[in-house]
This record gives sequence, structure tokens and C-alpha cells, in this order.
Amino acid sequence: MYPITFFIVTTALLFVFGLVALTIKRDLVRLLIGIEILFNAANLFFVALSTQHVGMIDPLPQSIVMMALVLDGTVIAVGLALALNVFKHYKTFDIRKLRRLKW
Amino acid sequence: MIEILFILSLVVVSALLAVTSRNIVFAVIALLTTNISLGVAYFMMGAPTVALFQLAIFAGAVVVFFVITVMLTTGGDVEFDDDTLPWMNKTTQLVLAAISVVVLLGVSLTREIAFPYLEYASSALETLMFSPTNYDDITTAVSQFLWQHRGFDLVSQSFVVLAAVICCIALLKIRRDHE
Repeated sequence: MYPITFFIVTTALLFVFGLVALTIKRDLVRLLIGIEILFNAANLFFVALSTQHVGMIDPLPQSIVMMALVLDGTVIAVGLALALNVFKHYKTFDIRKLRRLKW
Repeated sequence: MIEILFILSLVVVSALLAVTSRNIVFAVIALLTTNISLGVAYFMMGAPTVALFQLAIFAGAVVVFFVITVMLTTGGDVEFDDDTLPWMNKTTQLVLAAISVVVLLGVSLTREIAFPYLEYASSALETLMFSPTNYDDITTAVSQFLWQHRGFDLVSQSFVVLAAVICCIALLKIRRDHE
């Protein structure tokens, strides 16, 4: 069992990096990278909490994180398909340019 | 304890590089490093099933999706050169990575943060915990728990994945009338 402090600090740093990517970046692919880092932060903290009992394992958070991993993968896949579709239509990933476009 | 700190430092530094790297290919490679080191960290923490899923889905499939997206578009061209952080160069990245590692190691080794993780856990949940002797015990117990207690979630999750596949096919379908 590792101390929970390690994982709290790591989760906080990953969360800050993901939020910075979501707020500053303009590229659709980089926004998805930021979303994935946020997913990783949440999953790491969940697993860290499940392993804080000395010599014991809690299967509930691990099973929930397994399901969350699959759903996160589908979210990223759909997001990348959307990004590809956007690029096919508008030839750009810049969300500032995309915001000005009207249907 | 040193090894988990090394792995977590690798996670933090590679995530920082994934966010701050100007070239999208380097960013995807840094993201791959983050996912692989997180899988190793899960394995060391006593969650081998989660580690396998992390390595298969996040370090495998999702990174392949990113690489395919970069390949199908203008990967490495001007479009992917990020200009939102003009002061971000290799020196700044190195300084930021060093600050992150110092924060991680400093806080981890000098502070002890208490987290009331058991206060909201009911006694029914605590009875589900078990004492494993090896990794096979953990894998078997998590698989049994999934089927016995989360069967409905698993079935509904399969429908969500199916909906996502249909959505991807609909998005990437070549429309003849637009060409």
C-alpha cells in the first residue's frame, strides 16, 4: 500500500494540466488530449482510494474504473471521428475559426 | 516507494509534455508514455485488471486513433503547430517539468494528507473487500464482482459502445451527394 498523498498530488497536477489544455489550446486534437488527461486523473484517484486498505483489495472501484476506461475510449473515439469530419468539411482544427462558421 | 514515485513523476512529466508540446506527433507520443506509465502504476498499486484495460484501451486503441487522425489530416504541417503559447520552448518545458517533479516529490515526501475515504463507504461495501495472495486472486475477484454485482451496467455499457460505433460509422461515412 502506497501513501495516498502521492496520488493526490499526481491527480492534482494531471487535473491542472488537463484544464490548462482545455482552456488555452485551440486545436481540436489537443483538446481531446486534455480530456484524456482529465480522464486519467479521475481514474488514478479512484484506483488509489481502492488500494488504501492494508492487505485488502476493494473490487468495486476497480470494476467501475474498468467500465469507465471503456467508456472513455468510446468518448475519445467519437470525438476524433467528429474532429475528422470537421476537418473534412472546413480544412481546419482551429476552434476559433470553427466558431465563426455558420451552417 | 521509490519506484512508484519514479513512475508517477514520469506520468506527470509526460502529461506536461503532451499538453505543451508544439508538434502534435510529439504530443501523441508523450500521451502514449503517460498511458503506459499509468498502466504500470496501476499494476504496482494492486489493480492488474485495470492496468490491462489501461494498456489495451488507452495506450493501445486510443493512441492509434490519435495517430490515424494525425495521419489522415495534415499531420506535422502548419495546422498542427500550436501557437497558443508562444513563449513555450524546450527550456520552458524543462523548467515546468522540473517544477512539477519538485512539487510532486516535495509534497509527497514531506506532507501526509489524510483522506476520509472510509467514512462514506457503507459497511456493506466493506464486506466486499478481500485479502489477495496473488494477482490471479484480484483478477478473479474483480471479474466475479463485475458479473455478480454490475451485470446490468456491463450489458448497458455494451449498448453504449455499440451506439458509439454506429456514431463513428455515420460520421465517417463518405457521402456521394456532397462530392
